[in-house]
Formats: sequence, C-alpha cells, structure tokens
Amino acid sequence: MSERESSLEERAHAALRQAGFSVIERDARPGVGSSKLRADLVAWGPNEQGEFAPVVLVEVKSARSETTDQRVLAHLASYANAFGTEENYVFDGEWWIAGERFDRLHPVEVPRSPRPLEETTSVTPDNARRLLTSSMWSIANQFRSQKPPGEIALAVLRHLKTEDRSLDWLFSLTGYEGAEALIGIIQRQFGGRSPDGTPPPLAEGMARLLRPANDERVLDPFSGLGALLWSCRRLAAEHHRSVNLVGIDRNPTTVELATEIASLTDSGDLVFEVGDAFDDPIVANWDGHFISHPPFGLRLADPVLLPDGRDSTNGDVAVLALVAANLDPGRRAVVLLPRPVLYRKTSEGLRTWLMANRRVVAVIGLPPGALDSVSIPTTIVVIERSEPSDTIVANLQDDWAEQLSADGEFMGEYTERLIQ
Amino acid sequence: MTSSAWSFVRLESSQWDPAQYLGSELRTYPDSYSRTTAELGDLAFAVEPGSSWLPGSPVVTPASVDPTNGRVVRSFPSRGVVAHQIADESLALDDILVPVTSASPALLVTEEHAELAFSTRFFVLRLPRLIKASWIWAVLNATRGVEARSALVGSRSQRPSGVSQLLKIRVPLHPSKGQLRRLEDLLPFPAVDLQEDSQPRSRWRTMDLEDLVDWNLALAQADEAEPERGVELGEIAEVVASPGVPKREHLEAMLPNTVPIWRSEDVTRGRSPKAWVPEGLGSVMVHEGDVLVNQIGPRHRVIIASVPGVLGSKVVAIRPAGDVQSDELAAYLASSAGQRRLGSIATGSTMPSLSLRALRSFRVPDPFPGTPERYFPEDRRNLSEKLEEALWG
Repeated sequence: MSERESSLEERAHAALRQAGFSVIERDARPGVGSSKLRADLVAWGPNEQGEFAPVVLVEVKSARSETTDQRVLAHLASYANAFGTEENYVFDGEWWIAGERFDRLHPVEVPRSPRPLEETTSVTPDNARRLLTSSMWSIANQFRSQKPPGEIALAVLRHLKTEDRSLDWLFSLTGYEGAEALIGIIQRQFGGRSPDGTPPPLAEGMARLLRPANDERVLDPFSGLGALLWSCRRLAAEHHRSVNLVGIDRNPTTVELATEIASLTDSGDLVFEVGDAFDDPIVANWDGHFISHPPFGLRLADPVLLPDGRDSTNGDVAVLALVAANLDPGRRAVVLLPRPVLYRKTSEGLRTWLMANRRVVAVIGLPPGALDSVSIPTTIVVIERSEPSDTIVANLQDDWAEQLSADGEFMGEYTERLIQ
Repeated sequence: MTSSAWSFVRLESSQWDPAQYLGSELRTYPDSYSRTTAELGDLAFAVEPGSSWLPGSPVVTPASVDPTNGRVVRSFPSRGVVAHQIADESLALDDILVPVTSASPALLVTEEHAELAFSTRFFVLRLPRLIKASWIWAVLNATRGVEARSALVGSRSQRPSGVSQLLKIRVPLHPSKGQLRRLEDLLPFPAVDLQEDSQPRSRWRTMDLEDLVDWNLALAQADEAEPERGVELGEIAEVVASPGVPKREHLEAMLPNTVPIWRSEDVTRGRSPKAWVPEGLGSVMVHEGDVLVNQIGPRHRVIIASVPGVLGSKVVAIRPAGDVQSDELAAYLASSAGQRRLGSIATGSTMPSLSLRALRSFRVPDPFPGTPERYFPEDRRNLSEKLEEALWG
C-alpha cells in the first residue's frame, strides 16, 4: 500500500470511528484461514437480523477513473458476497457507496452509523471466533518480537481486559462460546500450552459422562486452559445447576491464561491454581468429582505408588491411579487416556484393583482422529467410588461426537445405566 | 518370472527422473503390439474432482476394491471434502478410476457405480468414444500395466504419481477379437458388491470385566453380538508367528532346494510368494490352507496360503484344527466385522500390531456367518494375473 493510501486508510478508519463503529478490522479476511480476499476496512455492528456481524466494507483507492471503477465495483461485489456486508464504500478522499447492483458508485457525505446494540443482539460462534482471532492477532503484533508465544497470548488477554475494552460486549454476549473461542485460538495460534487441547465436542461429551449435580464440585488436575471445566459449566447452566469448578496446572503461564479467560468472560465460579497434581493437597483432599485430559505419555521423575501396591513412572497409569485412589464415596472420575492403559502389563495390577474396589462405569474407545493433535486411538474411562458392577463398554467410531452428544443413542443408554 | 527390458530415451532436462522412464518404458508389449502404442495422454484426459463432499460420508477408495476381481466391496468414511461422483459429472460412464499411489485395480465406471462417491485417491481418466475404455482398463490392470503404475509411485522421492506421469504410460492400441472376448469374461460383474456392514458403526454393550484383565479385548467384544456365542481363536486353531528369515537370504527366483517364503507384502497384496529361501531356514512352516494375517499395520489383510512355505516375519499363521474350515475362518477375519474387531485388539499407538496372546483370546463366531466365496473365490489369482494371461498369454 502506498504512503498516500496508508494515509487515506487512516482517514477512513477515523471516519468510521466517528460514525460510531467501535470494531473495525484492517486488511480483513472473510474467514479464518481464508487468504485470497482481503478488504482494507471492515466495520462490525448489528445487522438487519440483529446479529453482530460485518456490516460496512471500505476499499481505499488513491486514484479513480472510469476503468478502475469497473474493477473496483467487481471487487466490492465479491467482497460483499464473502463478508455479507450491507454497505460497501470506496474512499479516495471522498466517500462513494456502491449501488445495490454494484453497477456504479454514488457520492455520499460520510459513512452511515451503526445500528445500536440491543439486549437481543446475538453473535454466531463463527463470527465470535473470527472477530476474536482478528483482534488478538492485531494486538499480538505489538508484542511479537518481545515474548514467547504463551506470554504473548497473556499480554493480549490483559490488553483486552485493561486497555482495549471494545470487545467487552462480545464476551458478555457469548459467555461459553467466547471462552471456547479464546481457548481454541490460544491453543492453535499462540502455543498456549501444548497441541493436546480437548476439542469442544469431546470436552462436552466428557462433561455429560460426569453429570455433576447441583452444588457439586469438579476438579481437573491437569486443567490446561480449562476446556473441560468450561464444558462442565455449560452443561450445568443448561440444566440450571451451579457447580464449583477448580483447575490445577503446573505451568504458571497456563494458569494465568486460564484465569484471564475466566475473568474476561466474567466467570467467577472457575478457579485455577498452580500445582503438581501428584503432590498437591487439593487433589488428596478433594471431595468432589474429577475430570481430566492429562498430557499423554508423561514419564514421571519419581515413581508413584499405585493403589495395588506397585510403583510406576508411567504418567498415563499414574493419572488413572491418582483420580481413582482419591475419589470420595459416590463421586465419579472421567479421564481421557491413550489406549495402551487398557492392555499394558504395567497397568494390569491397577485394572485388577479397580475391578475389585471401584465401579468401572464405562470404558469408551474413541477412534484415531477424535483428538485434533494426535492420530492415535484414545479411551475415556469412567470410574465411580461405589459397589463394583457391570461396565458399559463402547467402541465408538467416526460418529463418536454424535454418540456423545445429548441426543446420542450411546449417551442415552449410558445415562440410563448411570442412574440405575 | 519377469524378463529384463530396456529402451533408449532422450533425457531432455537436468531435472530428469529415471523412475518416470522406468514406469513408462520398462515392460515392453509383444512385438505385434509395441509398434502401435500411444501415450495414455494422447488418448485420455484427467478430470478434476467434483463438488464438496461431507467428511465422514462413505467413499470408495483404492482399498475398497477386491484385488481378485476388481469389485467394489466396501467403502470408508471420507477424510476429504471433495470426491468424484456421477451425480455432479466429475465422473461419467466408461471413465477409468486409477489409484494414485497403489497398485490396486483401476475401475471402469459403469451404471452400478452411479450411487457411489470415489475418493481423490483415484485419478479419473476420460476417453473419447472411439477408444474402447474396457481395453485401456484391462491394459492398466494387467500385470505389466500394474508394474508401470507402481514404478511411477516410486519416482521423485516416493511422492505419489502425478497425473501427468500417469498419462505418459504407453498403452497398445488395436486389441484382437480374441483378446476382447477373453476380456469380456474378466470384466467385474457385478461391479459393486458392497458388504452391508462395511461402514464401521459405534457399538456398545454391558459386560463384566472381572475376568478380562485386557480391557482392549472388551472393546473388541463390545463390537459384535456373535462372539458371545463364539469361541476363542486359540481353542479352534494354532496361532503362530515367526522371526522370519534374514532378508539377505531371500532369493527372487525359485532354485533347486529352495522353498517359498510368505512375507507380509505377499499377504498385503493377496498374492503368491515372490521370494524363496534355502531349505532348512525359517523356524515356522506354513501349510497349504493356513490362514495368514498381517500382524503389523493399520489393516490386517488375510489370505489363505496356496502353497506350503516358510513363515516370514510380521505375519501370523492360523492353522485351523478339527472341523474348522480355513476359508470360513479367513472369510470372517477378512470381513468388515472381522477387520474392525482385529483393529480393536491391535496394540501400539504408532503402528498397530496384533499380539499372539490377544489373537488367541480373540472370540470368533461359531458357526461362522457369511459366504467364504465372497472373499476367497476358487481362482485366488489377482485380477492383474488373470488379465495378463488373457491379454498377453
């Protein structure tokens, strides 16, 4: 972009601000990951349907002529189609608006003002994610050369919280979706913790398998950014329940990120603390349920004592033992683990102990690909501290997300079985 | 045994790729045909895949095709978002679907394929009406056509063959009446014989795990109702594996005092052994009729040993005892249900592997369901071998 165009873009941006737009994207793309189309400025506001979405688009041109107008109109038509904008302008020092058929440009004094935000204004999850991604990247550029990725994400969240309050309304609108979008963006694009994030359908399925009742407590001893706890919160809200949610993670930056996400989305009932799950009194004294998707394949520096009396440095086995041993009567644990826990010799003693001392409610095999980051088959194990009884064993295939959804056939049978 | 061949080619660029020439020129056709050959690209053009396709929906891949007869026997959940379909004209009758990377049979599109979607693991070649599509299909599927395609796959640092390379394969023109007549008998009919149960489905059941220390086996048992009435494989068959014979001892031709060795690639390709070892080597012998299963890999292919030999590494031999019929057992293990359940008991995250212990405890139905002919026809030769004989004698 030439110097003149940059200066024109600043003027156009200022004019949109003056018109009342608070969310304006520069060099905007119509979708996350789409790179072909880029519009100079896109302003967001409530559209005719009452959804917060791109409504005004501006292309900045340093010079216009009849020939270039035809090309610009063709560009505007394709941009408008991709972004779904209602009004599409060209700014060359003066404002021009494209006709409805994109056949000519009409002069206007200034761009129009946005519709006011109403209580009923909504935002689609896709748009929330897009807007957050774009805003976070734009803020992240300030810190890019100074910090490692996790720290950049943290700086961006703090900036959003304390300096740039333009998205506050978005978090209040979206709640869970806002948090989910932030978690997804940080995992994928800012290297938040590790690539092992729990995808939303799996996190929600695990929360459904746990089914915490009103006023019960849930601990995730390897919480990361808190995706599983957020799913528990969403499920509880759907059933008009209140649950007390605590997450522990060894990485202080991850805990800070999780805390900032909870703070930005105004969720005081999620608490995150720094701690080592294998050596934290919170875990040992926990009187609620457990839910966890720990990092796979951990090798522990010091062996832990398994409830069957053996030692193990295998992190996967140790996690299963940890939650099973610390369950209070009537409480449940839902843990996602790699498949070898089901058959390795190293966990044979633990499995035998579980059969004798706990109710193994369910063993649920998931196909490779259920986790975005790894292509290995995984397993959800559900344990309850109650009388041992039969186990529901499921071999879920590519329709696993559907089976673990609220209407899933498997979830229906599981719920029936759990209540018995 | 194959014979050596060579040809003179002009290497016009410093970026030349020898394998490309090996693929297109290595196997010559009989004299009467080699004078009238043309590059595939002079006869056919490639068609782009069509409209978007929902990931998870069933598609036909090269692995869907039965190598013994060229029939489509199963489909798989799609991982991609585009596919070839007749419905959107990205596929038409008499098009030829050529696998991108494997030596699986190419498919000649007929009306029976109308309801199916085909993965982009196939190239689609379209021919003008004047060219008999079934002839080109047969040439590409006969042994020397398969060799030419396989050579392309190995070129350019093991990358999949590009369609431009495929179009450089030379094919003979002008089939004789006799060839066309013999070819008619080998065209797959029916062209599609989808197993009802080819789509993996989620299954579950309630069971007592107390006696089952290996919970992975429980997952396999969750999959089917039959094994409840079935028996453990170890009760009805001997299940053995072998460290094999070091590769340096393998011979590419049968010599006096040698025996065939059943290697995992033979099982994978469903073919007779292509290597021999001196008598006395190898700790485990294969008997004719043994059921051989690939021990390692994402799929556990099953064949019935057609000749006695030595058991290679990474292959499990299952020798039925008593009244158990090899073809019935093999048919069950090769079926969608059998394959899915074998996949469930495989261990190892990176490269799934079947342990002998798990296989011996693996419950199989009693009696076996289904028809063995579907998986193991009387003529167990691959389509490529049959076409090679029909076309070139």
